[in-house]
Amino acid sequence: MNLDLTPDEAGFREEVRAFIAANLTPELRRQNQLTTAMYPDPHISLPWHKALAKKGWVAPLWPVEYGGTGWSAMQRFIFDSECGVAGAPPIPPFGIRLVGPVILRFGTEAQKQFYLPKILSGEDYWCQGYSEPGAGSDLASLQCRAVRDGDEYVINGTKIWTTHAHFANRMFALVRTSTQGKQQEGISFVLLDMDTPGLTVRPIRSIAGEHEVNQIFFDDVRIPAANLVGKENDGWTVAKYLLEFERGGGLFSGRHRSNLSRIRRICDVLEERGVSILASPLKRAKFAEVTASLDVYEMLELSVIRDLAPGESIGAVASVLKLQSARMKQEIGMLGIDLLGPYALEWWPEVPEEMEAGEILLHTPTMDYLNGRAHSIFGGAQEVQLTLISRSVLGR
Amino acid sequence: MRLRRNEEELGLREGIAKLAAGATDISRPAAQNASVFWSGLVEGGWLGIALPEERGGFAGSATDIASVMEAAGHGALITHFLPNVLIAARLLAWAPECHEYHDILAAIIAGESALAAVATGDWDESWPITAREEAGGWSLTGTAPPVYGAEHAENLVIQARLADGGVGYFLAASRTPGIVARSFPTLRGVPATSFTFDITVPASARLDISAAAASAVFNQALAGACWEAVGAMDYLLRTTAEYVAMRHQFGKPLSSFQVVQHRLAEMSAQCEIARAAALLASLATGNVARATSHAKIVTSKAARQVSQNAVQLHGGMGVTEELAVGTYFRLLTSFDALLGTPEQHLARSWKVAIEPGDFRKSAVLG
Ligand SMILES: Cc1cc2nc3c(=O)[nH]c(=O)nc-3n(C[C@H](O)[C@H](O)[C@H](O)COP(=O)(O)OP(=O)(O)OC[C@H]3O[C@@H](n4cnc5c(N)ncnc54)[C@H](O)[C@@H]3O)c2cc1C
Repeated sequence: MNLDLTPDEAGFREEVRAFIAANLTPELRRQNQLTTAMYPDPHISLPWHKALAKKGWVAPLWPVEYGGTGWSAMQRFIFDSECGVAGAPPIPPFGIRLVGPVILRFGTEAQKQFYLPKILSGEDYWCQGYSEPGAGSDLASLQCRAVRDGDEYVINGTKIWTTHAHFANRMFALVRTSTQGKQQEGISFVLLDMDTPGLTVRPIRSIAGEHEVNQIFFDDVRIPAANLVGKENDGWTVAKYLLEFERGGGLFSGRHRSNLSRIRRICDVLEERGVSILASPLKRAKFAEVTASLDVYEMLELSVIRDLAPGESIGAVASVLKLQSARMKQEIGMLGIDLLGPYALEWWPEVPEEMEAGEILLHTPTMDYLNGRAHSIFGGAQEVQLTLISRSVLGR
Repeated sequence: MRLRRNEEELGLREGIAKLAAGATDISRPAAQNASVFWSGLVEGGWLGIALPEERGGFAGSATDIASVMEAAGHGALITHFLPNVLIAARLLAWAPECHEYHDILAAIIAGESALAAVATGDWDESWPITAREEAGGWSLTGTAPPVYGAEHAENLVIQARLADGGVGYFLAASRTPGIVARSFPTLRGVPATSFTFDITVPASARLDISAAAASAVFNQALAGACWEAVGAMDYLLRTTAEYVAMRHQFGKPLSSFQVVQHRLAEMSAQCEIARAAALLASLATGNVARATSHAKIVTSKAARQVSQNAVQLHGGMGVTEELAVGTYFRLLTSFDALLGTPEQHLARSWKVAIEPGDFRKSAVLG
């Protein structure tokens, strides 16, 4: 074994760096730097999405004939690492990483033709309608009802925690099409347009004060029956396939590293103002401890994906990555507020328009800490991941 | 990048695994198993793995050394391999050619207690042995922290701080008058020895090894130590999973309780993390000090977590000598102080990775 890049890998890395240098404008980088939510708003992510799409690099997990890159796992790792470290905006997963692979696997030819190009180009912006007020961890208990009426389904009910629904023009959703048999057996996976009459979006403010998630109400929302993906009442199979990508498809070490670097930058900014944070041996040790965890986490990501073919999901070990990535996010969040102490207290429920970017930068660790708490809840709470991991340890 | 073992590396790992399995008999004390394993390593000629060909070894890769150390940890087969072969012999082997060393190195490969190291890596800046140059030689004084593998050693490589702030390595017979040694049993399951030096050695006793070469020896030893911990943690995870599945209370297996499942899952996650840490330590090529210190810091934490949970989930049996759990618990407890404490590695991390800004770069791509 060795970590030396092959000449091809080194060449690829140079190509990625050149692409980033040519396309990641300082303005985009700055805006991403100031983002503390899980995903930046579309006005930040879309320009980057489009630049990647133009280059043919936006969908590494897709088959080449549909616009994928044909990259090895190693190339994917190099690409994500370089983008993360450079501070490029992450692409929200809902289209490219979640519904894309689902349509590729379960969609009809017509669905593939219609949706996939719009996902690739960034023309469509997707959101994920899985969770409901009564169905969180126990997703299979979902109640949002879809009743077949001729060539249509009529949907009534509600979805919640829908990230970026206020930006999205399309949603993929799990709906109940049958109340017979086991809970899992009456679920279907559907695609719908956000401007369909009867659908309303209510914003929910996050603990950090941001508007990222929403509640959706369906009031006799009619969608074409052709928007079903997979078979009716077989949506649970589709849902589980998607969750594998949600829990293990992403590589986050680059992003975590850029968050850690941001803390160092803030310490340096404060230093210029005469506030010395990193002179304390205790704080240095804390910084080193988190950096050590991150370095090892990066190796963990690499060792998990090393054998993956493009489009393949990683299986059970996904839960270990999900658990650990959330912890990294939270450790870095805690490091920020621990190092800054009283300088981390300032918090604006809504950031005033006239606030300078530099001032906002100083608040990012606090926001990061607040937002970090959600990472051990969404996409399967920490406890749910632990139960999944224990099953593989106990061999059942 | 090559993240899988090649044929040769796989073959070696298989050979070592067989040897380790053959040496492990749970009805015997761990020390006895270890000495069977050691004999096997010697007879199979495996000790040469750590030395270059021109010094009589066969220059195994970092991965090969990982294989030996992981198997040793898994079976709690603690031998002189780490302190005497990976450290002492290499300090000698990586110094430029000297005839006297040939015999010592040959004896080490033959399994004899020819050499031990009273030395540590560059993470310890207040190493208490000092060397002062005198007419025609050096005088070495001070009391060193305990080291492994020295209880029967004929010769010692002694690390000492020099007046100019540098570090020197000196070769001396262990029976030299002025060396006071005290050996005692330890948590690791093997003896350690504390040395007090008040000796004068000739100028020729100084090894001509650069600080960078010495530091590489210790960094690689650190990687080996991490693999040993990974092997031991894996053993504890497996044996604990079997125990909680077998043991019934309240009319059902302990493994049916969610708290128990979650403890096991945490242990499993920590085992994966420790494995990634050891991989990073073995394979890093750029800033190796960063990689190895970070691996040590993370592995120490994981080892505490896994060993404490293993004991907890075994209940009363976990705190006895009835099962091997106690042996592994003590072994992993001793890992913290092996080759630098977490505190020393945190300080080194600050120096080599954070202050200079290297931490902003990928740990594996550089
Ligand atoms: C910021 C954010 C964004 C999100 N985005 C989306 C989105 O875009 N689309 C979408 O569909 N959903 C989204 N979610 C929803 C998310 O997936 C759910 O929050 C998650 O599945 C947990 O469900 P819940 O919040 O109802 O918690 P509950 O299920 O009520 O659980 C509460 C807590 O109980 C514990 N717990 C739950 N189950 C168990 C168990 N079996 N064993 C032990 N402990 C348990 C856990 O600690 C858990 O955190 C988002 C959530 C957040 C916070």
